Amino acid sequence: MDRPALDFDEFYGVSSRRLLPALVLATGDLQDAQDCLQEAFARAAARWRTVRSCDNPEAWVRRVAMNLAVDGHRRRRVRRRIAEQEGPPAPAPAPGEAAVDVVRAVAQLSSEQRQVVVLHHLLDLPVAEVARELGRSENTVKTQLVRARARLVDLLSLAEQEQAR
Amino acid sequence: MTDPLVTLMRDGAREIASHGAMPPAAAVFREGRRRHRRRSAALGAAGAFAAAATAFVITGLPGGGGSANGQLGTDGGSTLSAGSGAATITVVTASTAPSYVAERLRECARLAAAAAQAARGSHEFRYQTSSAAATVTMYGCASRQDGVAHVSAVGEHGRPVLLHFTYADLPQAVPGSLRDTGIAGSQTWLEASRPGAGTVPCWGQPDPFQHVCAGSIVTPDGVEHLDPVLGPPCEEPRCSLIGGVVATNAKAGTVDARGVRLAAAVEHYDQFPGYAVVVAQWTGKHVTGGEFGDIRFVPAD
Repeated sequence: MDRPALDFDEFYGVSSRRLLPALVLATGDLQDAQDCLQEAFARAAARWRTVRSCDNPEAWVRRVAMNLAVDGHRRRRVRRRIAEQEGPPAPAPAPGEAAVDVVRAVAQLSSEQRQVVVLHHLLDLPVAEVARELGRSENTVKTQLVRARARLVDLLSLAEQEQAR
Repeated sequence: MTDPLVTLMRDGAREIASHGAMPPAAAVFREGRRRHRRRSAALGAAGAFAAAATAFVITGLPGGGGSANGQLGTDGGSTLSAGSGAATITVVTASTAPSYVAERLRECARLAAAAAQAARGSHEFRYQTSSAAATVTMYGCASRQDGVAHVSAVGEHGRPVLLHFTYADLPQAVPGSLRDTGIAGSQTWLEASRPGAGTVPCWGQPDPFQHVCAGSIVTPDGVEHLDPVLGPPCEEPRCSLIGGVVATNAKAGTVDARGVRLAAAVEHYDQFPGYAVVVAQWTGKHVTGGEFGDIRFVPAD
């Protein structure tokens, strides 16, 4: 493969590790998260010379992947195709109960709340940037964060810890 | 001070993520390049299409604004035959690639004007690019719902360039309703409903990073027809379903397996390999390029 492919490898290696956990929360499902992310990276690869020259290629992939996570209907093809070529992934042990619970709790948030939670808490985007990326006002984002938090505290029975903060 | 809830979420997400490995970069890259090759082939087809368009001069590009008035004449056999008359198109763009954009805008404009004119006589509408773009390829696509034309355009090369459609003049101008259902980020959702014969919602989701793809049409019988709007060969599973609706060189009046009637023959489009045209109609009328319907360019599998 030519030189851009080498850049892509590096980018993919670093960014996929960073983005996958966020997508797990955004979709509530590991496989869905992988689908979204693979799809986003495949799209980036298709126009890699342009994407790599972006100020923030990871933001490009993140945005596409998050859009896919919200849309929820444009996935699977990449994974299926790659699985055909590479074979299925190796079986993995089951995750811990706490991890499952928290992902499940986040999945119960509205998609709007989930987006802001993931972008702000998982990917460390400031509220202003979350607002800009999602086309919402900062106040709206703040409100959604507060409500999401309250809901998660309730779902995860964290009221005592929350009061102690 | 650490936030226990955030810590919990991060740890949980990381643990779940650690249970599934992403495929090798090379495999994903290969998949992307495969798409790139297909898209490049489609661009060649679109270029031929643009070259065949009648001249429609748009001035005022680029730099944030401009307008042009042009006389549309007959357009040499396009299915969206404009007939005679005038259409006014206002183009607002922040593009930085005037010649390339202008060429594609010209194609967009011609098709849109033709459709608008066919539907309503002369009409005015506006659209604008969402942001500056070094390069942008726009595929013109005109469709008519409620007698209203709209243009779909596609940003190419992955830049956030896709159009925001502004239909400021249209809601008052049409008997049905056409409303911008909100611009979230760089996405614009448009919804049109047609009075009588049920509601025909039609969505287009211009995505800044990909071709226009998502969308559906619900025919009066309640059947949803998955509907890629237009663009380079579409990779999406839902788009592949359009194969049941699309037929190159289908005869007018053909009803596909889902009950969508082709309003017009599509023989004009076989010169554009890689594309087919959906001409869906629900009114029972059949007039090539002139009656209510929905005309879209879609990839032909």
